[in-house]
Amino acid sequence: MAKAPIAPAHVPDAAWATLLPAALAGTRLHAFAPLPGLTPNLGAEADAAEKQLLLTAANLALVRRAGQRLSGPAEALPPPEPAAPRQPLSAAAVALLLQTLPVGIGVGIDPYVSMDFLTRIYRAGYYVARADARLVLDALAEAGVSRILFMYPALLGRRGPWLAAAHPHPAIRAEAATMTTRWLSALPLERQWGTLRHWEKMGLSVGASFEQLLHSLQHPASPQELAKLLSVLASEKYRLPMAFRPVLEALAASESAANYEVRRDALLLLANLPGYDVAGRAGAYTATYLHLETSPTGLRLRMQLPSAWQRDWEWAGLQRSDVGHDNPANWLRMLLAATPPRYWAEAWGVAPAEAVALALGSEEPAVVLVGWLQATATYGDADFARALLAMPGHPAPSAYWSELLSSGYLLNNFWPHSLAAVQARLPAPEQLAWLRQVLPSLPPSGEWGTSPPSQLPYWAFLLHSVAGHGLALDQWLLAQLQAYATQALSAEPKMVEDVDILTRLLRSVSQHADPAVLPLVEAAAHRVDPHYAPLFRQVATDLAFRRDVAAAIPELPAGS
Amino acid sequence: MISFTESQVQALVTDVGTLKRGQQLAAPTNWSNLGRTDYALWGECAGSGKTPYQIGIDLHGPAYHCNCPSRVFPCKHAAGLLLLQARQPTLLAPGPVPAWLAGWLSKRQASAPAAASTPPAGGAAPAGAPAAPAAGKPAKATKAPSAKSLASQQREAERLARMDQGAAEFETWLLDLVREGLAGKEKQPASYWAQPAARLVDNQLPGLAAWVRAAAPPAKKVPADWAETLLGRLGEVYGLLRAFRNRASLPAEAQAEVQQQVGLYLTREELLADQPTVADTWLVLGQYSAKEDKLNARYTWLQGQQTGRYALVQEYAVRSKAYHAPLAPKTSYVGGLAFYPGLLPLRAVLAPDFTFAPEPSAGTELPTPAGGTIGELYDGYAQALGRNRWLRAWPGALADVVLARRTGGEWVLRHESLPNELLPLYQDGEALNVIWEVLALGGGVPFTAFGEWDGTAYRMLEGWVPAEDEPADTYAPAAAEA
Repeated sequence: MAKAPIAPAHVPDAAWATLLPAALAGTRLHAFAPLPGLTPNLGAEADAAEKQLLLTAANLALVRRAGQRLSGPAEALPPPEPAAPRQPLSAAAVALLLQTLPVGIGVGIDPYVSMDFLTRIYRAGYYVARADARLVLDALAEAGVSRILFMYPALLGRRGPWLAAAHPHPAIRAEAATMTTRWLSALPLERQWGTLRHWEKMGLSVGASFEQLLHSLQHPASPQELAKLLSVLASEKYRLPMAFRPVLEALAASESAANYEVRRDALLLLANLPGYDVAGRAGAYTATYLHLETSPTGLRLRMQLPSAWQRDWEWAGLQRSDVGHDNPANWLRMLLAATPPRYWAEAWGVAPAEAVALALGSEEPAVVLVGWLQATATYGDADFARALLAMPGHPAPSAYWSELLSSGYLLNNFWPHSLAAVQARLPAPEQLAWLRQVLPSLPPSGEWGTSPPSQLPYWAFLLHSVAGHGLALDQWLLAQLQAYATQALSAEPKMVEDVDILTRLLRSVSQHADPAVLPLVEAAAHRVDPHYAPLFRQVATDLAFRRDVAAAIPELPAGS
Repeated sequence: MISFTESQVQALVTDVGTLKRGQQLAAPTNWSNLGRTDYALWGECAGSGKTPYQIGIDLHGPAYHCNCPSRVFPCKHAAGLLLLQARQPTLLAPGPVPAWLAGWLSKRQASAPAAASTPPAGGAAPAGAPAAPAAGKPAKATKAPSAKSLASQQREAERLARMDQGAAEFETWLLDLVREGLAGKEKQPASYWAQPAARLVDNQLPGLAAWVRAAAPPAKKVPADWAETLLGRLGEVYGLLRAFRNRASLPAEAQAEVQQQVGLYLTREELLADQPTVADTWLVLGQYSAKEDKLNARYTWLQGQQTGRYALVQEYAVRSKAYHAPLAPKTSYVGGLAFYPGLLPLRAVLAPDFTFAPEPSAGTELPTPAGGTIGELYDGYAQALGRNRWLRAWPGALADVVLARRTGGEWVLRHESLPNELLPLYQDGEALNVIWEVLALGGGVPFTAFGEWDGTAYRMLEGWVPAEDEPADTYAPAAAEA
C-alpha cells in the first residue's frame, strides 16, 4: 500500500486560527495569509485569494481527518459476573422456538404463549446459546416485537439481568434505566405498569422502572392519565417503596371533588406503603363504632352505626356513596373495608377465625363480613382469607354460609366476585382444595330461575377465580369449566357477557392449563356451536405448542 | 435440487412487510396442491376469495409467478411458499408440473440465455442516476462509431457541457461566499444551502450537490466549531469542483474517481462490461440504511474470504419499495463483484453469478473476521486518505475490543490490552442498538467489531461475541486488502 503523502498528525490550532478570521470576515475585508506547505500557489489565477483559502481549508480538514486520534482516560467496564449455572437449550428446542416465534406473532400461537415460553425457559434455568440467541432476537424483531427487543437480550443473554439492573457500574445502571424508560415511554401509560410486572416476574429488577413510574406520577400528561395509572396501580395491590410517599400524600390531599378516584387510589397505595399509617388511621376511625364486650356467655361484638358522615374519613380513602347506598350501615362497611383486617385481630387479641365468629354473632353480621371481605382482598391478608372462606376447622362454617347466602344485599353486590378475590389471596393448592370443598355445596342451577349461566353463583365463582384471578387449572377444574362452556353457549339467548367471560376463560386455559388437557379442549371444539369453535381451536393450538415445547425440553415445567 | 434455508429466504424477501405477511402464510393449513421439481416450487394458497391463488417459483433466479393482484415481487404468497419449503420441505413432494405453471416455466426456459445476462440482484447505481458518458472511459474509444453511438456521443457531449456550465456557476457562488465571509451563515435556513444544491442537480451534478448538502451546518444545536467544520467542508467541495473542471489533465483512475464523486455514475451494465469481476466467497460484515434525499439507501459491506478485499454495495429504493439484492448481515455468498474504477476501489456491484454460499453445517457459525487494532485502523484510514482524499468511510474490523465510557458518558471502543488507544463511536439510532446488543450478549467481554471509520467516529455495524469457553473461530484472509 502506498505511503500516505500526509503524515498523520494533529493540525495545530494555530493553522485554523490563521485561516478563520479571513473566512469569517470574508476576503474582501480581511486579507488571507497563505500557510506554508498547505496553501497552493495559484499564480495569477483570478480570485486567487478565495481559491487559496478554500484549498488551504481542504488540506487542513484532510490532515485533521487523517490525524484524528482519541486517547485519554475511559472507564473500563468491570469484569463480567461469572456465568449463572444454566444449561443451554437443546438444538431441538431452539429449532422449535425459531419455527414458532415468527409464526406465533399474528397467526396460530398466541403471542403471550411465546413470551410465556421464553419466560419459563429463563426461570427453569436454561439459556439460549449465544449463537442461537442472535437468531431468536432476529425472529422476534421480524415478528414485530421490536418494542420488546431489548427485553429479550436481557432474557437470553446470560449476563442480561446483571447488565440491566444489577451491574456494579452506576453509569451502566443509569443507562439501563434510560433504555428502560425509553421502551416504557412507547407504551400506553396503563400498560406500562403491566410491563413492569412482567419484567419482575422474569426476575428482572424493576428498580429503575420505579423511577420512571414516579416521574409519571409527578408529571402526568393529563389528569385522566394520572387517574388511570393510579387505578391500575391500586388494583394491582402493588407495594410501592416509601419513595412514593410524598407524591401519594400530595395526591391524597387533593381537595377537588372530581378527584375522588385519585384520592381513593392514592390512599390505598399509601396504606400499602411499608410503615405508612393510613391503615392505623382508618382503624382508629372505625374503632369508634365497634366494641368488644365481655358477657357471661363470652366475648360479644357490639356495634353502633355512625350518626353522620365525617369529613375526616376521606383520609382513609372513603367517599359518600351514591344514592341508595348513602346510609350509616354502608358507611361502617366502607370504614371496615378501608381498615386492614389484621388490625382487629391485633386490637382484640383474637385469631382471625375467632374474629369472623364474633362478626357472625353481631347485630349486623353482613355489614362486618362484607367489609372484611373487601379489606382482605384489598390488603391481601391470607390469614383472614382462610377464616372468611371458612376453611376446614372453622368454628362455625354452617352459620357462616347460611348468613352469606341469606343476605340478599351481599349476594347482589359482593357475591361471588368478592369471595373470588379473597380466595385469590391464597396459594393455588389451597384455592383448589377450597373450591373442591365448597363448590358442590352451591346450587349450580335451578334455584336461580332463568338467569344466564354467568350469573349463577356456582359458575360465576369459578369464572371469577380462573378468568379473573388466573387460578391455574387442573383436570377437575377444567372439566367443570368445560361443562360451563357447553351450558353457557347452548343457552338462549346467548349472553354477550357469557361470550366475553368465555373468551377470557379460554385465554387463561391456553396460558395456564397443563397441556395434558388438550384432548378435552379438542373434544369441546367439536361439540360447541361452530361459531365458537375457533375460540377452542385457538386454545388447542396454543396447548399443542406448549406440549411440543415440553417434549423438546423435558425438564421444562409445562404449566406456569 | 435447489432449495433455500430460512435465513436465505429472509434475505431474498427484502421487503419487511412482505416477509412478515409471508410468515403468516407459511403454515401448512393455508396451502394445497403443493409440489416441486429440482428447479421449481408450486402450490395453491387460500385467499379471501373462493379460488385459491396459484403460486409458482422458478428457483433459478429465483423468479416468481402468482395470480394475486399484488405488484410486489415476490408477493406474500411466494414468500410464504419459500418459507414453507425452508421449514417443512417434506410437504413439497416431487411431482409433475401443473398445467397452469408449465407455460410460464417454458417461457422462462426459452429465454434462459437472456435471463442469464440479467442480474439476479440489484446493486447498481441509484434509480434515476445519470448514465455514464462513454467519453469518460478511454478504453471504449476503439470501436468504429455507428450512427447510434454518434448520437449518443453527441448527447453526452451536451451533457458534459451542461455539467461544466453548472460547475462554473457554482464556483462563482462559492467564491462569492468566501469573499463575503462565513460569519452568520450558521444561522441561515436550510434553503440557503438547498438552493445551490438543487441547481447542481439540475445541472447533472448530483454527487457534488450531496457534498454541498452535507457541508451545511446543522439547523439545531450548532456546534462551537461550526466555522472550522464548514470551512473545511466547503474547501473539500471546492477541491472536488476544481478537480472536475481540470479532469482532462488527471490520470484515468483519478478521473474516474472525480466523475463518480460529482455524480457521473457508470451503469451496472457498463461496469460489468468494462471491469473484471473479482470472484470470492463474500461475507456480509455489516449493513446500515439511511435516507438520502427522497430515496432509501442501504449500504452493505462485504469482505472476500480469500482475497481479504472489502467491498461496499450501495442500493437505493424509492419509498417503501424493497431493495433488490438479497444481502443479509452475517451471511455468506459466492460469486463475483465488479468494482467501480477509482483511486481506491471499494464500491462494487454484484455480478450475475453472485449467489448464496452453501449453508454451513448445523451448529457451525460463520467465521469471525480477523480484526486489527485501533491504531491500525487509524493508520489504514490515513493511508487510504493519502490515496483518495474524497474517501468518506473506511471499513475496519477490530479484534479484542471492549466497550468503555469516557467521563462525559459517551461510549468508546478500547483494545483490551491497550488502554490508552480509544475509538469514538457513533451512538445514534441503529448504532446504539448494536452497542446494546453486544453488551447484552457479551456483558462486557472482549469481542470483534466491524464498522466504518470516517475520521470523526466509528459506526459499529456488527459485533462478534465469542462463545463461552470456546476460542473464536477466525479466518485470516489470504491476501491483505490492496
